[in-house]
Amino acid sequence: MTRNFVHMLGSVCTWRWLGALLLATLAGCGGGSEQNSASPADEALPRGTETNTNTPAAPNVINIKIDGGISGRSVNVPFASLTVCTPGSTSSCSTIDHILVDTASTGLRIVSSALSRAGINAADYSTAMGEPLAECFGFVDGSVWGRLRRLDVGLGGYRLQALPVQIIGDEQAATLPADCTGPFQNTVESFGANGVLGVSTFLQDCGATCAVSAAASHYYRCPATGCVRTSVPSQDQLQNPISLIPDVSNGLAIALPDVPDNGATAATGALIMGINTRANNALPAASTIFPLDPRSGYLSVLYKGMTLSNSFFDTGSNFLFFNDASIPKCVAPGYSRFYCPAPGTVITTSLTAQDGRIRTLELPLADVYSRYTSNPANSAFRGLGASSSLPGSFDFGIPFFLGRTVFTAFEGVDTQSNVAGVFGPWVAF
Amino acid sequence: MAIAAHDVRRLSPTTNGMRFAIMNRIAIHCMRWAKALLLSTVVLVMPAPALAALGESIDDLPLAVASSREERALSSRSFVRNSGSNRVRISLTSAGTMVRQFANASGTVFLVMWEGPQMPNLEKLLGTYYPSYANDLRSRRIDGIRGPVQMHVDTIVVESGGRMRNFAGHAYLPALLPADFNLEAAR
Repeated sequence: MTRNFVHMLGSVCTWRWLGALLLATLAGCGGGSEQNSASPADEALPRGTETNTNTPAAPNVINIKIDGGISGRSVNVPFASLTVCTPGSTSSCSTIDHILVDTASTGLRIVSSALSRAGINAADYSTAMGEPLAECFGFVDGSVWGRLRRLDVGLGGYRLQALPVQIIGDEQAATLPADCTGPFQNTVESFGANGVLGVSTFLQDCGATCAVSAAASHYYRCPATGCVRTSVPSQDQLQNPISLIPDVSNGLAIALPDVPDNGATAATGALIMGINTRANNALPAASTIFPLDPRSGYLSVLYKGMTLSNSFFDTGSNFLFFNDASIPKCVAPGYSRFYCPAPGTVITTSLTAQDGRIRTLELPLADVYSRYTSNPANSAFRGLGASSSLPGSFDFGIPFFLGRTVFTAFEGVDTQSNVAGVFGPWVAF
Repeated sequence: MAIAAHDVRRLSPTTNGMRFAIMNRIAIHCMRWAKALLLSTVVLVMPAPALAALGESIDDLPLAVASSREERALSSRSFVRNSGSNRVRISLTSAGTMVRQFANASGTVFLVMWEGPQMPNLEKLLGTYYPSYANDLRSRRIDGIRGPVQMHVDTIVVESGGRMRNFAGHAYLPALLPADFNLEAAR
């Protein structure tokens, strides 16, 4: 998949590579908050950094790698390496590896220790009243607390200038308000990554809810007297960073390779920004579009006669999470949540396409225990399933994405989102 | 169940758009619950972020006072109703997440369910069981699970899932779960 992009051209200005960094200096590219440049295909690009096995072949491509992650024991967790710079600087830049690529949250968040280790100083980001802004966000499995700051961020060949980013565990936001509760994931170890690149269908992490009400907001203004909840206009909240790049603002594709049944030590794929805006992000004619609920981002999935209306596609989930009491669970201690079906087991889900027709999606299901114990060094596996007895949800995690190119159109009705006459949000594959 | 929604609305006669939206949400939720719960009368209506922890008495809930006008407009409304021999306290967090706490005949909370745009305060809802929940999440991260939470230990069961802007889950104490209680139906 990514090989095709090597031939993609479209140079706007010259790239200059700073050692092994992916950052391009953008002198001569002109003004504007986002800039676009492309690398001539014949330019020799440096290789050899551990986290960049592929050089970016086109400016709208971010390499993704599934590997052992921070702990060395991650399974099916897709990471990107992003170059961040002190705002306005072309020299104070560093690449931060192992940033989780997450299609179920919005906004770039970087753990403060990872940023300080990179030696980058973020700029202040304040409310209209000049007070620092912080955020307490609860993920399903834990909360993050930290200040919002500004960084220049390289996404593929684009550079987003002074992008608001949450700095998780920022020590200067140490005054944790009483109504921000855990369990916290404010360290690299507890977060399991150096950060998260949230590129869900939502353009902001909170949206209207946090814009109209301080009480309902997970944003805090932090005067010297302490942090208190505050409303924040949508445009000032954490944004889906891809939606800020005019050329590719309407969506993305996640392209991950297939892996053998026994897994692979690593798998390298790509996040391709934009849909139908460039030669390398065209939606294939054979793709099927599945509309998502604009309010929830969910879609309805039929599984064994049950309608699971809170289903979603999530690169931040590392298993297929669903409930089926008829599939055997693993019996080994510590594995009781995982499915251990007979060899050759395939599960079938049905999804309603944009054209109203039902499409079936078949997914192999593997014996998690034997996969794990037979291949302890591997970090990418197909067919991993785990139970989640919350009713009404099928969480299509990384095992679904392996071997596919999955397009996701963001929410909104601007003309760029209009692909095949369907407005986002939707998923297609 | 429209009765309960009406009751809640009567508490706050001055409507604005946001309040109306929240009341609508209550009404929608209530209609959904009506399928599962045979309601009788609303026995208590009070403005309070009602967050009794698992294993505590539903009667011992503190009455919190909203501090700002905006918080008052959005502050949690809660009411308790009878459902068979159990009682259910329904409340709405300031972020609009619906929390339902089920207490048995002696008033002890044995189940809490939540659904809405933000995770509720699990520290308060789980109470003394919160540390084991937090510990389980830590070990889970070490084990490398990323996705919905499923925690089954001797004394507590927690299921929690969703994604940004949409979360749902429940936590209960198996030892206190009434024999005839139908978890599926409650949801």
